[in-house]
Amino acid sequence: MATTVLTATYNFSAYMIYLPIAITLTVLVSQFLFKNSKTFMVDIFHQKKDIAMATNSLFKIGFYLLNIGFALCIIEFFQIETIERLVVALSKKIGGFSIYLGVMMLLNLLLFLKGRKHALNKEKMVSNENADLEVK
Amino acid sequence: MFNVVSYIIFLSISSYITIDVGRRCYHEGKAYLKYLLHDEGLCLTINRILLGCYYLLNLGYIALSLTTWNKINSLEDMITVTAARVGSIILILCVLHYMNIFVLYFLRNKLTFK
Repeated sequence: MATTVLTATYNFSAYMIYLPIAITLTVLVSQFLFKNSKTFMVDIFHQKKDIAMATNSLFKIGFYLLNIGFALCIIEFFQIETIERLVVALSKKIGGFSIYLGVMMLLNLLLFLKGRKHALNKEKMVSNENADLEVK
Repeated sequence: MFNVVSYIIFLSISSYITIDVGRRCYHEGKAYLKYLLHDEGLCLTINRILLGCYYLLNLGYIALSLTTWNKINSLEDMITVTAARVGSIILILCVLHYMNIFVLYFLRNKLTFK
Protein backbone atom coordinates (compact mmCIF):
# COMPACT_ATOMS: atom_id res chain seq x y z
CA MET A 1 0.00 0.00 0.00
CA ALA A 2 2.84 2.33 0.96
CA THR A 3 4.50 1.83 -2.46
CA THR A 4 1.33 2.72 -4.36
CA VAL A 5 0.99 5.92 -2.37
CA LEU A 6 4.63 6.73 -3.09
CA THR A 7 4.32 6.19 -6.85
CA ALA A 8 1.13 8.17 -6.88
CA THR A 9 2.89 11.15 -5.31
CA TYR A 10 5.66 11.17 -7.89
CA ASN A 11 3.25 11.07 -10.82
CA PHE A 12 1.22 13.87 -9.33
CA SER A 13 4.28 16.09 -8.84
CA ALA A 14 5.37 15.31 -12.40
CA TYR A 15 2.04 16.65 -13.67
CA MET A 16 2.26 19.68 -11.43
CA ILE A 17 5.75 20.51 -12.77
CA TYR A 18 5.02 19.72 -16.41
CA LEU A 19 1.79 21.70 -16.83
CA PRO A 20 2.99 25.20 -15.78
CA ILE A 21 6.29 24.83 -17.65
CA ALA A 22 4.62 23.76 -20.89
CA ILE A 23 1.99 26.49 -20.74
CA THR A 24 4.43 29.30 -19.85
CA LEU A 25 6.78 28.15 -22.61
CA THR A 26 3.96 28.28 -25.16
CA VAL A 27 2.81 31.71 -24.04
CA LEU A 28 6.34 33.17 -24.06
CA VAL A 29 7.20 31.74 -27.48
CA SER A 30 4.00 32.89 -29.12
CA GLN A 31 4.22 36.38 -27.63
CA PHE A 32 7.77 36.67 -28.94
CA LEU A 33 6.85 35.34 -32.37
CA PHE A 34 3.76 37.45 -32.91
CA LYS A 35 5.29 40.64 -31.61
CA ASN A 36 7.87 40.32 -34.36
CA SER A 37 5.49 39.14 -37.08
CA LYS A 38 3.58 42.43 -37.24
CA THR A 39 6.11 43.90 -39.70
CA PHE A 40 5.69 40.88 -41.97
CA MET A 41 1.93 41.17 -41.86
CA VAL A 42 1.98 44.87 -42.76
CA ASP A 43 4.17 44.05 -45.77
CA ILE A 44 1.99 41.12 -46.83
CA PHE A 45 -1.22 43.15 -46.76
CA HIS A 46 0.24 46.17 -48.58
CA GLN A 47 0.26 48.57 -45.63
CA LYS A 48 -3.40 47.93 -44.74
CA LYS A 49 -2.95 48.07 -41.01
CA ASP A 50 -6.36 46.89 -39.73
CA ILE A 51 -6.47 43.69 -41.78
CA ALA A 52 -2.81 42.96 -41.03
CA MET A 53 -3.45 43.15 -37.30
CA ALA A 54 -6.58 41.00 -37.64
CA THR A 55 -4.64 38.31 -39.50
CA ASN A 56 -1.85 38.50 -36.97
CA SER A 57 -4.16 37.81 -34.07
CA LEU A 58 -5.94 35.04 -35.99
CA PHE A 59 -2.60 33.30 -36.44
CA LYS A 60 -1.84 33.90 -32.79
CA ILE A 61 -5.08 32.20 -31.70
CA GLY A 62 -4.29 29.28 -33.98
CA PHE A 63 -0.78 28.96 -32.61
CA TYR A 64 -2.00 28.98 -29.01
CA LEU A 65 -4.72 26.42 -29.70
CA LEU A 66 -2.38 24.07 -31.55
CA ASN A 67 0.43 24.12 -29.01
CA ILE A 68 -1.57 24.08 -25.79
CA GLY A 69 -3.78 21.34 -27.20
CA PHE A 70 -0.75 19.28 -28.10
CA ALA A 71 0.86 19.90 -24.70
CA LEU A 72 -2.28 18.69 -22.92
CA CYS A 73 -2.68 15.65 -25.19
CA ILE A 74 0.81 14.28 -24.47
CA ILE A 75 0.49 14.70 -20.70
CA GLU A 76 0.31 11.02 -19.78
CA PHE A 77 3.35 9.74 -17.81
CA PHE A 78 4.14 6.11 -17.09
CA GLN A 79 4.38 4.95 -13.50
CA ILE A 80 7.23 6.88 -11.88
CA GLU A 81 8.83 5.02 -8.99
CA THR A 82 11.94 6.96 -8.03
CA ILE A 83 13.01 10.57 -8.05
CA GLU A 84 15.64 9.90 -10.74
CA ARG A 85 12.96 8.49 -13.02
CA LEU A 86 10.94 11.60 -12.35
CA VAL A 87 13.76 13.89 -13.48
CA VAL A 88 14.45 11.80 -16.58
CA ALA A 89 10.80 11.57 -17.59
CA LEU A 90 10.22 15.28 -17.04
CA SER A 91 13.26 16.35 -19.00
CA LYS A 92 12.37 14.00 -21.83
CA LYS A 93 8.87 15.34 -22.09
CA ILE A 94 9.76 19.02 -21.74
CA GLY A 95 12.69 18.69 -24.15
CA GLY A 96 10.48 17.00 -26.72
CA PHE A 97 7.89 19.70 -26.32
CA SER A 98 10.41 22.49 -26.74
CA ILE A 99 11.82 20.91 -29.89
CA TYR A 100 8.29 20.70 -31.24
CA LEU A 101 7.72 24.37 -30.36
CA GLY A 102 10.92 25.36 -32.12
CA VAL A 103 9.92 23.48 -35.28
CA MET A 104 6.49 25.14 -35.21
CA MET A 105 8.06 28.56 -34.81
CA LEU A 106 10.42 27.97 -37.74
CA LEU A 107 7.51 26.79 -39.92
CA ASN A 108 5.58 29.94 -39.04
CA LEU A 109 8.57 32.10 -39.88
CA LEU A 110 9.01 30.36 -43.25
CA LEU A 111 5.33 30.92 -43.99
CA PHE A 112 5.66 34.63 -43.22
CA LEU A 113 8.81 34.98 -45.33
CA LYS A 114 7.16 33.22 -48.28
CA GLY A 115 4.05 35.35 -48.03
CA ARG A 116 6.12 38.52 -47.85
CA LYS A 117 8.14 37.57 -50.94
CA HIS A 118 4.95 36.77 -52.85
CA ALA A 119 3.36 40.08 -51.86
CA LEU A 120 6.44 42.11 -52.76
CA ASN A 121 6.65 40.42 -56.18
CA LYS A 122 3.00 41.22 -56.83
CA GLU A 123 3.50 44.82 -55.81
CA LYS A 124 6.45 45.13 -58.17
CA MET A 125 4.40 43.64 -61.01
CA VAL A 126 1.55 46.07 -60.45
CA SER A 127 3.89 49.07 -60.31
CA ASN A 128 5.63 47.90 -63.51
CA GLU A 129 2.28 47.67 -65.28
CA ASN A 130 1.40 51.15 -64.13
CA ALA A 131 4.75 52.46 -65.38
CA ASP A 132 4.14 50.82 -68.77
CA LEU A 133 0.73 52.44 -69.03
CA GLU A 134 2.20 55.82 -68.21
CA VAL A 135 4.90 55.42 -70.90
CA LYS A 136 2.30 54.56 -73.52
CA MET B 1 -16.49 11.68 -6.65
CA PHE B 2 -13.43 12.21 -8.86
CA ASN B 3 -15.65 11.94 -11.92
CA VAL B 4 -17.82 14.85 -10.84
CA VAL B 5 -14.81 17.04 -10.07
CA SER B 6 -13.24 16.23 -13.43
CA TYR B 7 -16.54 17.01 -15.20
CA ILE B 8 -16.65 20.40 -13.53
CA ILE B 9 -13.00 21.21 -14.37
CA PHE B 10 -13.39 19.98 -17.94
CA LEU B 11 -16.60 21.89 -18.56
CA SER B 12 -15.30 25.14 -17.12
CA ILE B 13 -11.93 25.12 -18.93
CA SER B 14 -13.23 24.00 -22.31
CA SER B 15 -16.24 26.31 -22.34
CA TYR B 16 -14.07 29.23 -21.26
CA ILE B 17 -11.64 28.56 -24.11
CA THR B 18 -14.46 28.13 -26.64
CA ILE B 19 -16.17 31.35 -25.62
CA ASP B 20 -12.93 33.33 -25.55
CA VAL B 21 -11.82 32.12 -28.99
CA GLY B 22 -15.27 32.87 -30.39
CA ARG B 23 -15.21 36.39 -28.99
CA ARG B 24 -11.77 37.07 -30.39
CA CYS B 25 -12.65 35.73 -33.84
CA TYR B 26 -15.86 37.79 -33.80
CA HIS B 27 -13.82 40.87 -33.01
CA GLU B 28 -11.24 40.25 -35.73
CA GLY B 29 -13.78 39.05 -38.28
CA LYS B 30 -15.34 42.50 -38.53
CA ALA B 31 -12.30 43.81 -40.42
CA TYR B 32 -12.50 41.02 -43.02
CA LEU B 33 -16.24 41.28 -43.54
CA LYS B 34 -15.89 45.02 -44.05
CA TYR B 35 -13.61 44.39 -47.02
CA LEU B 36 -15.74 41.58 -48.42
CA LEU B 37 -19.26 42.97 -48.13
CA HIS B 38 -19.13 46.79 -48.15
CA ASP B 39 -22.30 46.97 -46.05
CA GLU B 40 -21.95 47.72 -42.35
CA GLY B 41 -25.34 46.48 -41.06
CA LEU B 42 -25.42 43.26 -43.07
CA CYS B 43 -21.86 42.45 -42.07
CA LEU B 44 -22.57 42.85 -38.37
CA THR B 45 -25.67 40.66 -38.63
CA ILE B 46 -23.82 37.89 -40.47
CA ASN B 47 -21.00 38.06 -37.98
CA ARG B 48 -23.37 37.71 -35.04
CA ILE B 49 -25.22 34.77 -36.60
CA LEU B 50 -21.89 33.03 -37.27
CA LEU B 51 -20.88 33.57 -33.65
CA GLY B 52 -24.14 32.05 -32.42
CA CYS B 53 -23.76 28.99 -34.67
CA TYR B 54 -20.20 28.53 -33.48
CA TYR B 55 -21.22 28.60 -29.81
CA LEU B 56 -24.08 26.16 -30.32
CA LEU B 57 -21.90 23.71 -32.25
CA ASN B 58 -18.93 23.71 -29.92
CA LEU B 59 -20.69 23.82 -26.58
CA GLY B 60 -23.02 21.09 -27.82
CA TYR B 61 -20.06 18.93 -28.76
CA ILE B 62 -18.43 19.56 -25.38
CA ALA B 63 -21.59 18.54 -23.58
CA LEU B 64 -21.90 15.41 -25.74
CA SER B 65 -18.33 14.32 -25.07
CA LEU B 66 -19.17 13.89 -21.38
CA THR B 67 -21.08 10.72 -22.23
CA THR B 68 -17.97 8.71 -23.17
CA TRP B 69 -16.02 9.10 -19.96
CA ASN B 70 -14.27 6.31 -18.08
CA LYS B 71 -14.46 5.63 -14.36
CA ILE B 72 -11.80 7.64 -12.52
CA ASN B 73 -10.25 6.20 -9.38
CA SER B 74 -7.40 8.48 -8.37
CA LEU B 75 -6.18 12.05 -8.53
CA GLU B 76 -3.55 11.31 -11.21
CA ASP B 77 -6.13 9.61 -13.40
CA MET B 78 -8.31 12.65 -13.01
CA ILE B 79 -5.56 15.02 -14.18
CA THR B 80 -4.58 12.78 -17.09
CA VAL B 81 -8.08 12.21 -18.39
CA THR B 82 -9.18 15.81 -17.95
CA ALA B 83 -6.07 17.22 -19.59
CA ALA B 84 -6.26 14.81 -22.52
CA ARG B 85 -9.95 15.63 -23.07
CA VAL B 86 -9.37 19.37 -22.89
CA GLY B 87 -6.41 18.95 -25.24
CA SER B 88 -8.49 17.10 -27.82
CA ILE B 89 -11.21 19.77 -27.63
CA ILE B 90 -8.54 22.43 -28.18
CA LEU B 91 -7.10 20.51 -31.13
CA ILE B 92 -10.56 20.26 -32.72
CA LEU B 93 -10.95 24.02 -32.30
CA CYS B 94 -7.52 24.45 -33.84
CA VAL B 95 -8.43 22.42 -36.93
CA LEU B 96 -11.60 24.47 -37.38
CA HIS B 97 -9.60 27.65 -36.96
CA TYR B 98 -7.01 26.73 -39.56
CA MET B 99 -9.80 25.80 -41.99
CA ASN B 100 -11.07 29.33 -41.39
CA ILE B 101 -7.67 30.78 -42.21
CA PHE B 102 -7.53 28.75 -45.43
CA VAL B 103 -10.91 30.12 -46.47
CA LEU B 104 -9.49 33.61 -45.95
CA TYR B 105 -6.50 32.56 -48.06
CA PHE B 106 -8.80 31.65 -50.95
CA LEU B 107 -10.54 35.01 -50.60
CA ARG B 108 -7.21 36.87 -50.54
CA ASN B 109 -7.56 38.62 -53.89
CA LYS B 110 -10.74 40.29 -52.75
CA LEU B 111 -9.10 41.25 -49.47
CA THR B 112 -5.89 42.81 -50.75
CA PHE B 113 -6.70 44.47 -54.08
CA LYS B 114 -9.80 46.58 -53.82
